Amino acid sequence: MIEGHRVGGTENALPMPNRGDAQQSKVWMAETDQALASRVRAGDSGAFRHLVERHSRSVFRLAFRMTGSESDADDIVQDTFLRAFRQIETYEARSAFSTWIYRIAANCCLDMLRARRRRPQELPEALVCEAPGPDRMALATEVRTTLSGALATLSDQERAAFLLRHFEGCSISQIGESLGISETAAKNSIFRAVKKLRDQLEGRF
Amino acid sequence: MTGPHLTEERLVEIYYGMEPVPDHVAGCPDCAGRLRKLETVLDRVTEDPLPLRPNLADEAWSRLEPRLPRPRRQPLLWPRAAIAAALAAMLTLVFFAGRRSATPTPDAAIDLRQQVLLLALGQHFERSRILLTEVAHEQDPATWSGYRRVAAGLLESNRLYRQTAAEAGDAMFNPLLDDLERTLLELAHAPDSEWLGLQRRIREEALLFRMRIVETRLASNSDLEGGL
Ligand SMILES: [Zn+2]
Repeated sequence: MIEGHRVGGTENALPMPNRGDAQQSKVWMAETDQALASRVRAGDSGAFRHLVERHSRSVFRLAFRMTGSESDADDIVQDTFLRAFRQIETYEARSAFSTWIYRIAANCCLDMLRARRRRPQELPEALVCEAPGPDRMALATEVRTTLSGALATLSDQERAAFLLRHFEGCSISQIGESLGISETAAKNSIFRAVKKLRDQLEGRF
Repeated sequence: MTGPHLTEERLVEIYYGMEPVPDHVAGCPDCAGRLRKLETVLDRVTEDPLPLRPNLADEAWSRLEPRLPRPRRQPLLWPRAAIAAALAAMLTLVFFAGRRSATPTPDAAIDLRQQVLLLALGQHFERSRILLTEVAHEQDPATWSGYRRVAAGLLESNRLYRQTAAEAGDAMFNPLLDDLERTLLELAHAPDSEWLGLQRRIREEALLFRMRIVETRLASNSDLEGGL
């Protein structure tokens, strides 16, 4: 496909809550993120649940690919939304809630990675690029292992910028805002990330 | 063939849809081949499997909910009946405190009445300030009718507080209560067409700032004589 216009971000539709007050859920589903955040600011923590339902999967995706560990990603989801709840006063409706939550999530990821570097013996198995056993390793696992090995060679900023663009479909300005860097720096991080990934992956896939 | 060969950066921009595919690609087998190679690698990256559990959001919420700090204040959208009941309770307290002023310790009774009123006023200012802050920044017209209802409820309370404060001989809040009442009245009845102007006025006027100052002073129970 020569056109190659990637949109990314496949889960932006509002999920149906699978339990709780159905009548109220319908009302919340029609609410914008901004309106829900306003309610949380006014003390209605129930509205926060719907923000968690809408955004926890994308935070998990980012966190898992940043850290390579499912349990770390679960912890980052928790930390991200705890921080978001405490800082909800600082959220301004001018920017998208998803950009704001990515910014918090990216910071949580970086904190986690920094802490991990202080105790390097606890590297999660998913980031250790081991040679795939020929028989029992499924293709999916092989892709995961190869890719996580390649992602691990990127700097934190390159990896975050790449993941936000490639998997979450964020615009360059959103990525800059989420990572607290300029748009030029965001773009250059993506360029460097793609170059490093190609160097490692071309011919292996 | 049009123009020079594409740089690596340009190919990445094209892949991610930041730039349109230039005509050059159609006429240059070299660049078309490089773009295809890039697509092959990056498309494979997309296939990376994720341990995305179907009920991840529910699990996250169950773990998160007990860890959330308790809200510091009541939900803004109180039903009108709840506001009325809270106010009635407050007025009853003030009334009994007033009757106790016939006892031999009038100063203590007046102190109590003052304190009850000040506490209730502090909460009223806080609730009003939260409402006005939200209104000032709310961009979704679907929420406006809800805010009108809340404003109408707070307007009712505001009138009673003003009256009570006047009866208690407490005129120091009157300027602020008067200005707040005017804004709440406007807000309760503003048609959509006047909403933007109202939002701007709330942002520009000093009302929010004045309420915050009074709240801080009421909370710290410090000197209220400095004027409002
Ligand atoms: Zn060319």
